[in-house]
Amino acid sequence: MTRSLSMTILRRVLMAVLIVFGMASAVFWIARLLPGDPFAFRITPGMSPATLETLRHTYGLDRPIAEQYFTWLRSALSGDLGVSLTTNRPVLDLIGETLPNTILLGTATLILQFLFGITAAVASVRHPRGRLDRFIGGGTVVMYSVPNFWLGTLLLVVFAFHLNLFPASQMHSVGFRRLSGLPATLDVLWHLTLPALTFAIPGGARVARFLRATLHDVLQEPFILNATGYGLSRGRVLLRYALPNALTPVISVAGIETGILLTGTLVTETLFAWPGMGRLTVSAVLARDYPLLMGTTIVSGCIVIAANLAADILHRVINPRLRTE
Amino acid sequence: MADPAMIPASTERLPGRLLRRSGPILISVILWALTIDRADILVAGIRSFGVSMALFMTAPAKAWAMMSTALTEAWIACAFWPVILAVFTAVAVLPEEVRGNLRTRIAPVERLVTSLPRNPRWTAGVWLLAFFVFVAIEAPILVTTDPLTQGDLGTTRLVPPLSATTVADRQIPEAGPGSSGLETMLARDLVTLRIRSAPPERSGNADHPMVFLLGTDSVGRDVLSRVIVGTRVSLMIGILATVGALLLGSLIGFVAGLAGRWPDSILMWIVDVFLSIPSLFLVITFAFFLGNSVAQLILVLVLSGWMGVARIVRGEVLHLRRREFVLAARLFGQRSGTIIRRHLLPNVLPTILTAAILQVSDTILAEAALGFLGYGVQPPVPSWGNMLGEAVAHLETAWWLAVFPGLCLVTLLISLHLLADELQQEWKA
Repeated sequence: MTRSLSMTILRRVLMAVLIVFGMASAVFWIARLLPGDPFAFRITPGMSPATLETLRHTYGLDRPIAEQYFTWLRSALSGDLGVSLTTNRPVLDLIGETLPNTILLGTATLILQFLFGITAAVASVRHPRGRLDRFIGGGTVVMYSVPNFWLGTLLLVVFAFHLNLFPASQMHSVGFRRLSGLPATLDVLWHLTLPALTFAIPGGARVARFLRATLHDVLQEPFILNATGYGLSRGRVLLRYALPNALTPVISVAGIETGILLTGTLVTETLFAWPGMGRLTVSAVLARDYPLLMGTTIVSGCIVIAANLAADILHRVINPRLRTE
Repeated sequence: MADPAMIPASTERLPGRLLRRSGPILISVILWALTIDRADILVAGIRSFGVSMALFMTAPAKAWAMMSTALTEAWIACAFWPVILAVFTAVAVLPEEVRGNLRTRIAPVERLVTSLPRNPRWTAGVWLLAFFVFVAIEAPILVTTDPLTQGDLGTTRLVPPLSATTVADRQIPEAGPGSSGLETMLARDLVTLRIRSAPPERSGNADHPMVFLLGTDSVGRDVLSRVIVGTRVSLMIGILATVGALLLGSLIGFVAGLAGRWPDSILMWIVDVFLSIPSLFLVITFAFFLGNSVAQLILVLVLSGWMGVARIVRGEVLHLRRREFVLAARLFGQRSGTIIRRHLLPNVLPTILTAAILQVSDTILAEAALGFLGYGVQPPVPSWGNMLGEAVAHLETAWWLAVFPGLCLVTLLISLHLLADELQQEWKA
């Protein structure tokens, strides 16, 4: 049993490595095969052909494309993602500076999102087809249709500009360096609220819809009837017996949500000027800094692959029914 | 379900009937009011079609020079308008018996309608979607001012919704440039249709009050007109890119599902690779290297949207190939082409359709997000996404710039999600 489990995990890890390799290659070929020349903006009209040639040589663009690909792949997989064209700093350094902020925002968002989702789902299955269930059902359809950038804009208008309750941008207040300990943490949390809510509300609606469906299925199972037959209260049956069983499939949702979350950071970080990787990516696009764009794309891809792998393994470890293929 | 022909003809009194028909009556009243208000544009649209055809007979080269996509769009709008008007008027005015007859006469339509879900959520989704499609098609008729050119900055910059300002009158020139009578006529129609704006020296200075229903943006353009044209841009990109993604995804899914073995493994590996990059990162990377004209954007969205469809179709094909009726067909010696066409495709279609609706919503959302970040459809062409992006700079003063395009986007997405949800449940049952 455990042998087959570790074999499965090993296979999954190997698959994930293959996908990382494929993803890095895909990013390279997208950059090279599509018609737009990422290099074009470096060429000025007055440039002599010789300078151009040296420039192409320094960036290795004069070598055969297959060779370029292998050189690039080797350095990319060993962690060297090239040098940003706009700042002349290693791409990995720039990502290293911004990624922790994105992870902070992402973790806060995921926690909030699952908190919202689980609460809403449990509340709505208490009385299936009841008034609350229908209300939450309608509300979640509306909420998960709301694009996060629009929700963020509305939150900004209402809570930052009209009510002045939360800051509109950045991660720290102006005098942050003088703060320490609890006030510093509170300051970050205060700045975190609106960007996290921007994503957690639609995300929570997605979780709620999924969890409500699985909870509803679990509640039809015989062991629930059994537990009810023992005279346990509805709330206890729901929380102690149904919820843990319904939550296991939600683990794989968490893997998928990570991807959606990273997509969301592009928008929310730009909107709230949060100094994370999403904003870095958008600025790379606007500055036509293609090594930086390729770097952030690869890093975000790796995060998604790792999150899905972790969710998959966790899912199998928790749920014995999935241990054999 | 009862046969509609068996239901006795309506014996209700008139007020009851009126109440039940209040929807169609209201819609046709609005449509007629719009028709009267936009009569000049409708006439110009229809006349310009005739004039262009005549011009094609006499001077094809000159006619070609005056052609544009905007003109074709105006013709399509003017062609559909009378049809829509006639249908709603007929539904509102014709007696119940005639309507019942008509409905049973068109049997395929009847069959299609009864096979679809029937509940308030589905109905709401259908009507909302129909509304947006109507706005998209009829955009040239519905817009109140030119959505692309700047307004008078002194008077119409950032005007709040529903407040009146005075603007300089838009005057139609007496005669445009042109040598023959036909050409002059066409030129004048083009001005009426706002395809060629009036020459500046001719636009009059007579000020008149004007109310902007949804306000104006930072360069004095009417938000309502831009939202209307944005509907067309967003829907067009969403639908075309979805069709492309469906074709590409279904092809790959079918190949993977039918071939099995190593082609399947390789294709699914590619799908996994592309799915591993978070969607907007992928879209942005494609857009970065491809460019962002409307055609390029559609290509970008096709290239980054086919994977989900491929995976769904592959799963369905794998599942179906092992079903008895497919095995039986193979046993009877039917060729694989016939099996695909007769047995697999019809059974995969419902799944593809549901996936298509969700794909449209994802694509529209991706386009809007791209536009919001300033990398989608480029100004001055409006899309809901780039309107929202422009709104961010004026959030503290002009809330209406952010609210209305977003509201449209959300409503459209809700309608698509309702439709997909209901179809899924109907076909699961």
